[in-house]
Amino acid sequence: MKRKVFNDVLRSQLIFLFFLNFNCNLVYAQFANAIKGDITIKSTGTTGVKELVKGKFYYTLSSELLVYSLTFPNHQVFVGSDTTIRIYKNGKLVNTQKTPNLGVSSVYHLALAQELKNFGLLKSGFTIEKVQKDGKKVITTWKPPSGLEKKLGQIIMLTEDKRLSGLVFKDLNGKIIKKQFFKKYVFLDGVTFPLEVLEITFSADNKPIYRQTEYKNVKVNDIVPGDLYRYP
Amino acid sequence: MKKAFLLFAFVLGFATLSSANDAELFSYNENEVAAVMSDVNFSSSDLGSVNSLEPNVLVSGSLEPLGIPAFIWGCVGGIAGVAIVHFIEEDKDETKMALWGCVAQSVVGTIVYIVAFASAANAATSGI
Repeated sequence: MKRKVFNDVLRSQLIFLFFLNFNCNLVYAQFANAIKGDITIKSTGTTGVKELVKGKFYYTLSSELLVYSLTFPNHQVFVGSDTTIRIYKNGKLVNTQKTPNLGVSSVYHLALAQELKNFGLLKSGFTIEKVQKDGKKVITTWKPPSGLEKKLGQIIMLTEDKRLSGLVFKDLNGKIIKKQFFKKYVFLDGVTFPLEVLEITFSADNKPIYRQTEYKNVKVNDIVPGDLYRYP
Repeated sequence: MKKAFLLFAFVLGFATLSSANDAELFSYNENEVAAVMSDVNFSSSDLGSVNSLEPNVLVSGSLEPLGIPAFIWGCVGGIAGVAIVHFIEEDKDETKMALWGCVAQSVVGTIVYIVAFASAANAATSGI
């Protein structure tokens, strides 16, 4: 009788600890709602003219609000929300443009939502066509969702140690149109984030065009009240 | 047995070759990237200006809810059309255009009403 009671108590405690741990993990993962830091973008440009952008970035997952506060080449603030991007100079709105949802497709969103390891392709409806393994490296070939096979080409993904390392985008003819590489990962408050992203596209005469994005002083959930959130 | 072994070796070799090709997709000239992206190259005053952060993504265009010009929204929808433009676009210029459309609708409507009323009155008096 005593043993039965002991087993029942032990079982209920184990179940309680399991759910407590499960919920704690959920809270820990869900707690990562915002990310910010310094950003530098260097690009060789499509015409050979070098381009440099410097500033700060802010992104909140719950509102899908993306803000770039640039200091170079000039002071501008880009606010991306839903399918609109607003450009401010000296606190005044100077331009509004329609875009695809930049926030949702950004590395910030994918990192906060814990979807960076598959680049959000699973959620977007892509399916795995082929998987190759070589030690800790895994190369996965993704095919577009049904209905988009005639519009989108394959995406080949390289993961190392379960982290997204590279992406190759192909067009419908199998020609490579873009490569992306994610490097120098850091782990911050439950969020795995790459501090360096290299993008390689190709000009009309097949010359590589490089665009390197570097992040510094990245912080998770260190929301700064006031200024940036005055922008709608 | 020999044929089966040769077939197996061929398939294995082909699979290995395919694997090697896919891995090569991720290769690039790291030295070239390091040289091009060095801080020295980007300290020049010949840097071009950046019009946007996402030049391949941003598409400029007029602001039109459902592709319908704001003026038409105001003209056809009246106050409701102005409200739709205002709350969707949140742009003062577009709201003004919708408002002008509403005003145009009112003016045209008034003229039509006056003309119709005058015609009806004329017809009524001539019939007496």
